[in-house]
Amino acid sequence: MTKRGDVLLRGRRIFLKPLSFGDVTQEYVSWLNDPAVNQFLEARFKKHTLATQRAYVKGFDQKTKFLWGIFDKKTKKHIGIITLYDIHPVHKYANYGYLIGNKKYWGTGAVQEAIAFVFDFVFLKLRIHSISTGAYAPNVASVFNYKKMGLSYQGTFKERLLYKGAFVDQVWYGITRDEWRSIRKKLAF
Amino acid sequence: MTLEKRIRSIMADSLEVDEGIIGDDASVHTIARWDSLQHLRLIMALQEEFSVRFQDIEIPELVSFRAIRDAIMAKLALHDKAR
Repeated sequence: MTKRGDVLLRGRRIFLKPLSFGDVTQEYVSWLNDPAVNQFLEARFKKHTLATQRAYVKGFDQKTKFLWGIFDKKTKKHIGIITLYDIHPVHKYANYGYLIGNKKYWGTGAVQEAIAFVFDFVFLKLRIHSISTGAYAPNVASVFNYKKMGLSYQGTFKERLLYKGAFVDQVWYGITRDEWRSIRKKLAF
Repeated sequence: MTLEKRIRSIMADSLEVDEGIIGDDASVHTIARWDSLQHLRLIMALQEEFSVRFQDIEIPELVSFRAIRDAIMAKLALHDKAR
């Protein structure tokens, strides 16, 4: 069983470990309050503090809901988070989300490595059958990442989300275990 | 310069890779460096070079040389038709 503090996955550039209270720093809180970082996150509708983030971390039991910190392997610096939730015990589906808060790591491929490791965990360890995620349609960088990771388009909720004063579409992407097995071989991490 | 050659050249510049690796099968899965930021840079360069505009919904679909070539050809054909 995975315990808090255990490193789950080590890659070329990053490693993941369950986030602990000790990882909830002012820097982490500042990401959630930063309009450049949170522009496509529901987090932008609230003011975040150390206390609210500790409560957030507490909400993940690492059994039915998972929260990992993404850390730079070289510097051990905390650069983001990735979550796994809505794990269905019968239908074996799950959803995931992520955030790279440290902007220096945008465009470095760190998030792709993190997603790959979480997918490996989801499909190989948890034996989940499919995983999905949704994005604001204007968030083309996120949707690009879905495509890069082999996810395919699942559908659109028309004008479901409020963004910059207008209702925009929410697009959903997903991947099955077999599809991941095939795409995984093509990835270099 | 042919359209394909122009696309390969822009892809190589934007993705900061050697033009030689932009073959017909080049895609986000064959070019590790092709990340979301490089992708946005690539889209902007393509729009400027070919005087076309991609919608938000089209941008994440342009994840291979073939997809880009087909999309540009379709846009240019529409443009010609409209003239």
